[in-house]
Amino acid sequence: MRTRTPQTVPIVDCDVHPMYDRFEDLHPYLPVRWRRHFEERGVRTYARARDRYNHPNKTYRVDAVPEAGHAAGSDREFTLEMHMNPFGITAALLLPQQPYGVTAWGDADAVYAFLAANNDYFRDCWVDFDDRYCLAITVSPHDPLRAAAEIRRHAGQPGIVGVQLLLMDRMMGDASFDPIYEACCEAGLPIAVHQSGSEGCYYTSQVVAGGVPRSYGERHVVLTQVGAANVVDLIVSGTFERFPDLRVVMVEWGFSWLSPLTARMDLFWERDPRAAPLVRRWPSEYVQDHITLTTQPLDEMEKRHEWDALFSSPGLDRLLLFSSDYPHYDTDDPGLVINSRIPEQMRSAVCYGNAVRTFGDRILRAAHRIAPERTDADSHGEQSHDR
Amino acid sequence: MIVDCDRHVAVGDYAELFTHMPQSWQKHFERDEFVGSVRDAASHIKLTDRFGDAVRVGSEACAEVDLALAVPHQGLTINGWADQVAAKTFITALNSWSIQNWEAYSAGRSAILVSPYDPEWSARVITEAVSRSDRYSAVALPLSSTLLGANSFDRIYRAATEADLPVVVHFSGVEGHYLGAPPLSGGVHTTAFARATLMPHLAESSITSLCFGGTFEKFPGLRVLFSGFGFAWLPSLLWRLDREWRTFRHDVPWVKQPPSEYVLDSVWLSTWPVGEAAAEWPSLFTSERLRSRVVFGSHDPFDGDTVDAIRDTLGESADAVLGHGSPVLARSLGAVK
Repeated sequence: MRTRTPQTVPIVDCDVHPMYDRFEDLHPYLPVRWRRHFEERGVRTYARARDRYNHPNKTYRVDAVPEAGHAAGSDREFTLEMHMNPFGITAALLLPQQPYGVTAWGDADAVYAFLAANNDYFRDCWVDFDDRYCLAITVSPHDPLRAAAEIRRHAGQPGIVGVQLLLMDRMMGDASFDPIYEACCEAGLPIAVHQSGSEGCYYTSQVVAGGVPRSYGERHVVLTQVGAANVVDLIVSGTFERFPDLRVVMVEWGFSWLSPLTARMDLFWERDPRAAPLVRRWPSEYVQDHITLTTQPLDEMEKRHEWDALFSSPGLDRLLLFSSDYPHYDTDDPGLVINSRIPEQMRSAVCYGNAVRTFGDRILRAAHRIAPERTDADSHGEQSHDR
Repeated sequence: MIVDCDRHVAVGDYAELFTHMPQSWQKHFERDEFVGSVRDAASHIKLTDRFGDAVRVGSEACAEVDLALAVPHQGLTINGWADQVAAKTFITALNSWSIQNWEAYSAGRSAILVSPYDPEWSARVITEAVSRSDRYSAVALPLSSTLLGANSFDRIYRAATEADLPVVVHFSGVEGHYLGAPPLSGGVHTTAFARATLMPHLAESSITSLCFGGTFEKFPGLRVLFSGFGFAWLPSLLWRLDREWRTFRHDVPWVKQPPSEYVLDSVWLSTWPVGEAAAEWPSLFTSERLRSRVVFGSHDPFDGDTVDAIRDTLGESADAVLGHGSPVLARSLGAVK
């Protein structure tokens, strides 16, 4: 068994995927009629159409499979031993992935029974198990009013730090999402948006531009576009004018596209602000005030100046959150990324300062595990406040 | 030498095309709603008052440059047409009109419009056009909802390569808007501002498809110019292309080298709107090989960039960029005075 690495600097990993091992794990959290419903009809927990885009290998790291042979990511102790302890990770933002399957479901009642059970299970069995685990509860666009109610049901609970919003065909700036955003602002919880795998698979999915990519890898190159498109839509639709306290975390959409995208928006807005009547200031300012992005999948460049240029984009030091995507096949190695990729001058901000500003102090509820003189985010020039 | 790879020409009135089509088709198109829709083709993503309605043609348009490639952009909008049979008649008429329009002006060159929905017919159009005139300098391929790496386009690429013409890809403005046209990223976008902002994603997906589809292995002489999509996003795309290829190269054995190599050999991007690249140009476009991918494209008359704007943004390397279109339009160089 591995032991914890002595640690002095907090590290918040903003993309860790836990799983329940067997559907029976959810039984205590499901009303009887829904338990029977799912037992009789099955539960589709994967969003990607596997008969359309087959993954060429496996979607998870083989070494992340617990010894007992259970699903990768399903063992809370194994995740601590293999991922959290060796790298000294202070907090993991848990983004359960089995709920991604509901993006292909049509029955909103079934969706919300399943999501509520997932939220309760991961709260009880992971968040309450270790204070390094923090959960973004999952809601879907099937019924925004029920989503808002689910957010309010969990608001204020220890370890609940965000809301994982699943995406279907509607863009995030659509006014139908307003009840969800209102509940998030009321609870001080940021939205986290992670690719679900359903993108480009169904009529109910968002798509990449241009058409249907041929292979898994080709699709993966351009999947970032969906995240970028929603950033644009949130701004152009005036969402941040309606909800000035809303914060959105874009998880696993990359970030090297951000600088040219915001430059383009600013240029077009400068040339004719009336073309975007709901935008009241520079589009890039909305990004700075409301958006954060996770580091994984970190682009891989060969030349030092490219790394320097990537990280020298104005304001990026306040936008990035460290993430690993454990236990997926393309996990970014925390040691490599933190020590060899992220510039030293922005390391504390990316490792935890920006996470504290986004999620509030509640993301560091395990801070007592760290040397006291290094737990105060303000000592690193970061403003922390509990939202 | 200044080579402008992104000029637009258009008829002022669709009735001008009637003399370039059979009489039976004239009767088909002689209807108020079609003739009256002539302005739509320039207005689908009209962002500012500087998007010109009038069409600059001839000596005025070519005064600043030594060579100008003009795309008859009204023909690109067939990617949103429901009747793709009528669309072929329409772009055939536009091809005939545009070559006649540019005949008197030595610097003007035109792109041959083809249909993505009928590659076999398009290949014949290319072959016949270059046999008739040396004023055609490119093949303008409207984007359909089939990505460009699909085998169905091979006939077009073969004909373009044999004719030594680049394939020019430019949005029509109806992408993500009209049913049948290719989607933009995400879902439905309700403003022209959002659609224009996201247009570069069409080029990203097309380049990715060409690389992962093996098109450049099949047609090593193929030249593809993405025009009007900007270029500041290219380094980010190249990093992602190569990363995914390294991860999944066993899944695409027909892709024999890092995709960035294909792009750096066979793909060009025009400059408009150059202002968005002010940060990326000095920091990321540091190698001559990468810079050579960027060619001057004014996008005139649609809120276009002047030569001075290129010089202001790109600094010392602007003069090189102004001439980078030469190898793209190689077939025309011999005729430039």
